[in-house]
Amino acid sequence: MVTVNIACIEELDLVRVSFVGEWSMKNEVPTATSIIWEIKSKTKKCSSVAFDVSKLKKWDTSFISFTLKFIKFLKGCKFKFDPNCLPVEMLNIINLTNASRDVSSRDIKRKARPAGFWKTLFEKCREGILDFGEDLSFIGELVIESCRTFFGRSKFRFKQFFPIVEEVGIDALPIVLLISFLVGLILAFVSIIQLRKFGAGIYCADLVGIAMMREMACLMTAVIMSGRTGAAFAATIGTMVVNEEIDALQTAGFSRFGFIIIPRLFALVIMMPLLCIFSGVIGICGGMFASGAMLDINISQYLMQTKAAVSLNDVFCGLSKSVVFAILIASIGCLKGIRCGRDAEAVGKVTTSAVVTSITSIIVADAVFALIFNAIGI
Amino acid sequence: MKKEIPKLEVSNLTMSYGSYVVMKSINFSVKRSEIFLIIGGSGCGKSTLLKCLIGLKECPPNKIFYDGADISKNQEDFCHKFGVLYQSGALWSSMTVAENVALPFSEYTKLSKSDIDSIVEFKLSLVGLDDFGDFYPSQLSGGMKKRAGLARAMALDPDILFLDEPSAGLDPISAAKLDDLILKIRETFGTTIVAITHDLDSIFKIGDRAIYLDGESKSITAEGCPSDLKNDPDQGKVSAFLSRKYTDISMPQKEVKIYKHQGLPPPI
Repeated sequence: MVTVNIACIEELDLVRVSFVGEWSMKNEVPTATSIIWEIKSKTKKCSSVAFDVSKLKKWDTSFISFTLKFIKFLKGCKFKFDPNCLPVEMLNIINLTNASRDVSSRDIKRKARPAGFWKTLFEKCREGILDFGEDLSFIGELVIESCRTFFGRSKFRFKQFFPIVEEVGIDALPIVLLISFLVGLILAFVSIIQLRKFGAGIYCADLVGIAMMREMACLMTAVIMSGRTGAAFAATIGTMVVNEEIDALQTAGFSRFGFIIIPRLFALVIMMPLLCIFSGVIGICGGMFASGAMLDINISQYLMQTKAAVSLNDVFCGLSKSVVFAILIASIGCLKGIRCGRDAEAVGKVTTSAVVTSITSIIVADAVFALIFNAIGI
Repeated sequence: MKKEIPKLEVSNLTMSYGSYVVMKSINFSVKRSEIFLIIGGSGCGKSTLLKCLIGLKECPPNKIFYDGADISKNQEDFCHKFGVLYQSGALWSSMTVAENVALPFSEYTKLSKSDIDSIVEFKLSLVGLDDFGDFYPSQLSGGMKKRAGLARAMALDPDILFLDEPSAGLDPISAAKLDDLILKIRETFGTTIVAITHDLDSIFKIGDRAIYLDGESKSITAEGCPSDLKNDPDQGKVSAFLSRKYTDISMPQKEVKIYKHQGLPPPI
């Protein structure tokens, strides 16, 4: 514990503040304000303050903090204070903080004064427009580079391409199959309960078949790929940005599109429709499993019913959507990765952003597809 | 007599991030086969300057000249003439060390695969990594990554090598070895080397000439041979930087003194 004694020595025009005991942040310590009030109440004439620390056995950072606050108060109250009566070690460390403040003053100046509402709004709008411009420029470059590669005007990097095909296709297959099987099963289960009431249980095969091939297979695959592949693209490219690998490509004169983005885009565009077909088929199997368990129909009856219900148009709708979803997932993942900041936190942010943006744009694109297919009657 | 064209020339360059000016009116030139150092305190703009020099940050035209030609025009033509060693090595993580070094050859030369392999082996042995060609960057230590980065940077025997803190994060022996390697590269290939470094030993060992970027005045405040700068009494800040002294310039004792009292008051 510490006790503080305050004594006025009017002939010396001085208030002496003596500290006795141990000043530790673990104990209760007096506040600078309370001491100042006490000094003010005890004297009207004295204009100088001095510390007596000869009986202060121990002190820690809380004493430094107290002293700094105390000096600030004294300055405000026009008291004079002799810092030489402070422990030498403490003076040294306070000097060090002042020196550090000098060194970092430039940084403080940079951040000085928070901008007003309108300025912030203007800056945000400006940033938004610039970001949008960068997005457009990225999309433009992506389209040009894709066309150049597709028509053989740019070198296609098979060495980068095949590992990505494996990663986005074969490696993703188990999770896509599992989810699709369960989705087919759930669809069948829900529809059987309703259709059975009207003696139309067999029509669950129609419902599952059309829903899977036309809508759910591509949608579920796209959602899985957004979380799995889109996030992986953003994180990988983001980490490459952090590790200066993208800078190294650029300074070596290699196109970041040719090396990083085009192989990923093409790999996903090729593998998504395949995954979508697998997903549709396994979803139908899920429906068949549920029907077998809940209805009195066999496999061949179910398959015949599905075959009669599902048209090529439905398959075409699903596949065309999966290609567009693949383009969206790959380009959003790569764009977010390329625009990653230079720290680990930024990688996390772009990964999250890639997943959220991909899923949102997939849903929006799906809605647009629904309108288009409805308008053209397929 | 015809005046020699500098290998690299920077003329009245001002660098900024948005409205914040990092450095203003920078002028310097680097001679052929010279080891030129950019030194200065943390955050003074050295890396930004390097980004401008290697084309990662856009600069206005007629500010940076390479062999007398403006670098802002046809920037892609200059890429093959530069080699850059990044602070982290920046090796492409999906490729082995040998593939990293070989990539520039397969892109920019018509050499056969066996020729490329033998050159890559030579380059890797030059940096002491001939046994690590099949390793991936994640399997290498920091120093090895840096050496592999150097092998890749000098793959195409560039005219000019840019090194971003080559010895940062290395133990003293590895740093000394890297310094020797840099000197050997210059001696063998006549490469011009521009390096950013904080390592005082490296500065005095490899540097022919150095510029000091001052963060406060946002300009170059000193230029010359590192040992001359250190001993120049007029170059207070630079001399302190090169002597590793900081108390003289940034420890103002007066800061805490509000009122100077004559001696300690008598005890109560």
